[in-house]
Amino acid sequence: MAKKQKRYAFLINLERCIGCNACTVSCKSFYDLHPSINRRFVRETSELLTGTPKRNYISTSCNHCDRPACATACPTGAYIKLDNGIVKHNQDRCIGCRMCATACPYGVPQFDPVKKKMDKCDMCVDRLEAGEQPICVVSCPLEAIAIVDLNEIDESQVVADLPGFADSSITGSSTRFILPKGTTVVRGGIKSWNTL
Amino acid sequence: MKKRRKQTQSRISNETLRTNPERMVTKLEMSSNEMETPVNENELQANETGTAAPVNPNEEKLVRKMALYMFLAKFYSGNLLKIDREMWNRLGDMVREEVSFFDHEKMQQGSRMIIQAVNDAAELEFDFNRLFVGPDRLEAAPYESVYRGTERAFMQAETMAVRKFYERAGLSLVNKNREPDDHLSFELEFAGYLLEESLEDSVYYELYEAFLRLHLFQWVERHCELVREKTANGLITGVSYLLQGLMEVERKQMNVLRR
Amino acid sequence: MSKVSRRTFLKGSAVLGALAGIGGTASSFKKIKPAKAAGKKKQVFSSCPRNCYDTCSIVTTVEDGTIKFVTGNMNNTYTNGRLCVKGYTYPNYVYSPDRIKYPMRQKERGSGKWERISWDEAYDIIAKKILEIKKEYGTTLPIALNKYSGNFNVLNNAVEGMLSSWGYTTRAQGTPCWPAGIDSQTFDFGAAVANDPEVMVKAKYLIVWGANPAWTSVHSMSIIERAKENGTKIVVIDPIMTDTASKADEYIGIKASTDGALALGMAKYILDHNLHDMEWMKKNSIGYEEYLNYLRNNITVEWASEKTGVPVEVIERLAREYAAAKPAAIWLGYGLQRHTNGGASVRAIDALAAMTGNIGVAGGGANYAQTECYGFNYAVQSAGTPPEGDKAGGDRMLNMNNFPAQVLAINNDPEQIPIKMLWVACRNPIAQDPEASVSYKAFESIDFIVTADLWFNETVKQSDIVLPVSSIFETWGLTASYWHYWVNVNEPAIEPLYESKSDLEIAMGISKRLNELEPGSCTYPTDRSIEEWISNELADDFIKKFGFKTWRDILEKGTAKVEGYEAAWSDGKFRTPSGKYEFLSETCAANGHHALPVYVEEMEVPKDRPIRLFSPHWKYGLHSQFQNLEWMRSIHNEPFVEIHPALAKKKGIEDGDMVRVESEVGYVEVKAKITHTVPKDAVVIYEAWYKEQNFNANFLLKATPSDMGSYATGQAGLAFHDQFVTVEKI
Ligand code: SF4
Ligand code: SF4
Ligand code: SF4
Repeated sequence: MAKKQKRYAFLINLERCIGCNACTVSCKSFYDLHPSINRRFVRETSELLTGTPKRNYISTSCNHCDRPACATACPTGAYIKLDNGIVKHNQDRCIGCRMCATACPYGVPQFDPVKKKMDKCDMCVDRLEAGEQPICVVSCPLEAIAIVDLNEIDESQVVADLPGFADSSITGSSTRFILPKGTTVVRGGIKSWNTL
Repeated sequence: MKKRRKQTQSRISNETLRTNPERMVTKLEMSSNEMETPVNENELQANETGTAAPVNPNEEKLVRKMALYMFLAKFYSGNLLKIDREMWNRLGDMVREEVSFFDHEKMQQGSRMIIQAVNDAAELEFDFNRLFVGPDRLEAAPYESVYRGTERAFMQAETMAVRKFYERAGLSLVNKNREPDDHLSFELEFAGYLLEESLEDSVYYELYEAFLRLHLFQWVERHCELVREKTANGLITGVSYLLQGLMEVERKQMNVLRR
Repeated sequence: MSKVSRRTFLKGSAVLGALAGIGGTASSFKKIKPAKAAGKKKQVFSSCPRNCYDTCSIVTTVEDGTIKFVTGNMNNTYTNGRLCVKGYTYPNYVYSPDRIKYPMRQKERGSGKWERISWDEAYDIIAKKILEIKKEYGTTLPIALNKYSGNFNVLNNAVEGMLSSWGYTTRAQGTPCWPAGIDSQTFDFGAAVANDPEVMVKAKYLIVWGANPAWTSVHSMSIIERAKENGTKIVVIDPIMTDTASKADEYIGIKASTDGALALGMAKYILDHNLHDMEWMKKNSIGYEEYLNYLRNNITVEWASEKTGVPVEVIERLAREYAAAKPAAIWLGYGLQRHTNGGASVRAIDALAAMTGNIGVAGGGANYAQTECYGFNYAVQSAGTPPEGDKAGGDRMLNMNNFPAQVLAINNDPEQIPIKMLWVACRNPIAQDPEASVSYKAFESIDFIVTADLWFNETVKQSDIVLPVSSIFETWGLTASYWHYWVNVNEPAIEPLYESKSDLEIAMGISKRLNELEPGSCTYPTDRSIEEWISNELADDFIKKFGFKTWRDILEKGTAKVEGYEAAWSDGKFRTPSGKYEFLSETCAANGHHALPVYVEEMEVPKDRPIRLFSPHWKYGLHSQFQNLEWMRSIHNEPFVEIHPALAKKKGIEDGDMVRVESEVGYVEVKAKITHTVPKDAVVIYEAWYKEQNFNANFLLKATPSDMGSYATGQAGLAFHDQFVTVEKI
């Protein structure tokens, strides 16, 4: 039987992510990116994500969507959705018109002021093809980022949506998250200060 | 030996250059390979005894430019910091002499300022270091990469592109990897070198134009303007006008607009 | 190449003729064969020498002589092939245009008028100054050294050796970070020896007490996450809900500086319910009866609850869980001992671990730090011994934590030998010491100041001469951690940039000049290669510990582990006078503290400044390092103060407002960040040096000493977290 085509996606474990930006910086260093450009973004998210207040972060990059809005918007066809799920941007075709940046609900594509072209994460496709993991995956000190095959993953253990993160159904974002667990908070005799 | 090629042979149209500078560089790579072959001694002799070719007005200008590049490169390398007022007076006059070949207001303004500002020579070193050397954060860093791409980090793509250019012309920094390749004094010295070589092999002139287009034009004028924002020193300001003027002269000749 | 006709031509240019005479005609370029141009790619081992728990082994990729990428070394199971965000910025650190490039002299301190000098000139100026001082005072005591943790490469100890090789000098002694806790553990155990952190996964229960590894020890955080996934319960005790606390199963927001009360309260409950390990105590300790009696007679859980703000039932549950879990580990952070009762708190926590028999157990322990891996010879340091005839007879020690004030006191006292010259290395004291205004005055009172650094900072600004130091990627090095048990080697990856030199080369250079000027005036060796120095650091028996034949064997993997510390103290051989764990320590009493780990009252909150200021470590920097780099600045470049919504509401402060935080000694103006993660009666400003911003948490800090530190480290520590401020909206 022919092997089923893989559908690569990022799986971010929010229970592990400490918001340190090691992923952002290692990617920037490895790909020699213009300093104004990040292919990965680490954001602080609601302190109340799990009820009791605590520090929470989301680290995301391009979501390699099933229905990529960037590709639809691009007038030169610079974006292609590969069979393995990766949305690849071809800089040679890019004319820097920024239509993709406007269209992408996650604001992913960024304008490189030197190359005058857009730039975005390609899931280190060359590395994946060579059997290596993407740079952010191997750099994250907490091992919070993984590449998974959406055909294999147990979707009941993960989520595609988070508060403050655009609805995954719009473009079919492939990124999945493991939600953080709650922490019991004891402070000043108040068991949990949700109510405060 | 076909050391000196005929102009027409190695001409690549300016059009090709504009659209595909890389191709031109490859071309030069070939030519510099050829240059590895030893020079025919007889030919050398013949030249030495022969009468110098008549001075062509274009070549005359070219030599003036070379001189200015050399002056600017020496200035940026910090070699002119310790010279006294007297020497600046003489240098100023000489620069004016070179500049007089170009009918360009900025260049002339630059040379006038240098002559008028010789009194600033006393503070030159302090101001120069503050702008270009340190130890504090550089106020007008003289590195290409700082103005392009990798702001305030060199030895990244931008610096390496400059290094590659040098290497394709068969050169490498004596202090390679100890000093960044894209320091202004090196780029200016290199431009002067290309001009000098172009007297013999026109392929170097094409390379010169490509180097300006790909590198010097990409940042030097912005650098000069930044310098003037950051210092009142007349000598440094004068040099900045001179350098910017030289770039403008070349832009005009090459028909490259500033973006 | 035929240049004849050209030359004739060039003669026409007067400028060219004149320029040829200035600065030489040598070209900056050399000709190469184009085929040679393509650079080779190689990978070398580097080692992060920062003052960091994790002391990573790094793999550096070099292409055509320039660094392309750095990442963690897989051979080091602690580093685990990954670095922290600071580590990943190293290419940016090495190649910043703002690095100090040449030796330079400032016309007048603070004037910004810098002139470039050669190394020979620099050596000459410095050597002459040293000789001049020696001649005038008959000793080199007027020369002072202020150096600390900017670079923990063992070869940097050459700076200490260099000063000794001139004669007896004045030294800034002590450490700002951890001394109180080091004293406590020295009293209790005889030394601070933590379990190998890699075995933390074996703990059934882990209390992270006053540490924030998510920011300061990411590799340990990764181990904690693994432990948690294995079912270890993680409890974090901290006044701030840190990122570490946010990952815990349970977070206890304790009142600052009352950690000792919590430990004693838990111990009392354990004793009352007979959950303690009497057998362990009998076998391994002295003074346990006295300690248990103290608990019986003086401690109640209610009292502990009152003190700490932790409810009685929570203290009881924690005590039960901790005592029942075998093994249970405690990680004591440096934060909890930065108080006027910090040393006492650490002793109370140590006692809790000991009375439950968690000492000497893999997956247990009262883990604070270790210095067992520092098995180097310190040859770079001992190579310098005072030359004959220095009448001082010994170095003069000042407290690093109160250095500026002590310098001023000396220089204002005509009876004392003044301080005329200061050498600063591996440190930015003006930015990092408390009471910056005193630092400025102290600097002013010194004639001649030399700073060796990579970066321009406040201290360089107040120096006469600055020397460019090479980065770790440009020289050899050896580093050991004070937390994990690995030793890393650092090979040079690239050539030193510009004219930078290592501290060791500088020491040799000055020595050479001194001996030229006055033979015998300096004992520092000048003829050893850096590689020789490295080999001198590794004693034969140290090498054998790793199973190596020669020191070069470490180059194969870049890193080597000292084995045998899975369970520190499992041999029961404590290094105390009694050879046992000392609940009752005569040494502690002899140093002016209590013999027993009793509760010491916390510092009183001043009425007029009721808000506590915490200034803990920042995730994008390490003290004054990293936050200044461009890549870091592109992620974050705006300092902020964390304020609880309740306090903010009271003060009319909204998120993003500018506020003025003022202490007894200074103030800062900073943006407010409203967050539930800090206590209501405290604010948090992370300690960092933001380049070109008139901001530093240390502007607010008073040099209040912590209770302990002078026994084991020479000087008391600093009560960084007993600082009090007012906060107002601007
Ligand atoms: S490196 Fe890992 S832990 Fe750090 S922000 Fe990125 S995903 Fe989170
Ligand atoms: S996240 Fe944005 S850029 Fe990436 S595939 Fe989806 S629409 Fe395109
Ligand atoms: S700062 Fe610490 S964690 Fe980061 S790379 Fe250096 S040693 Fe590793």
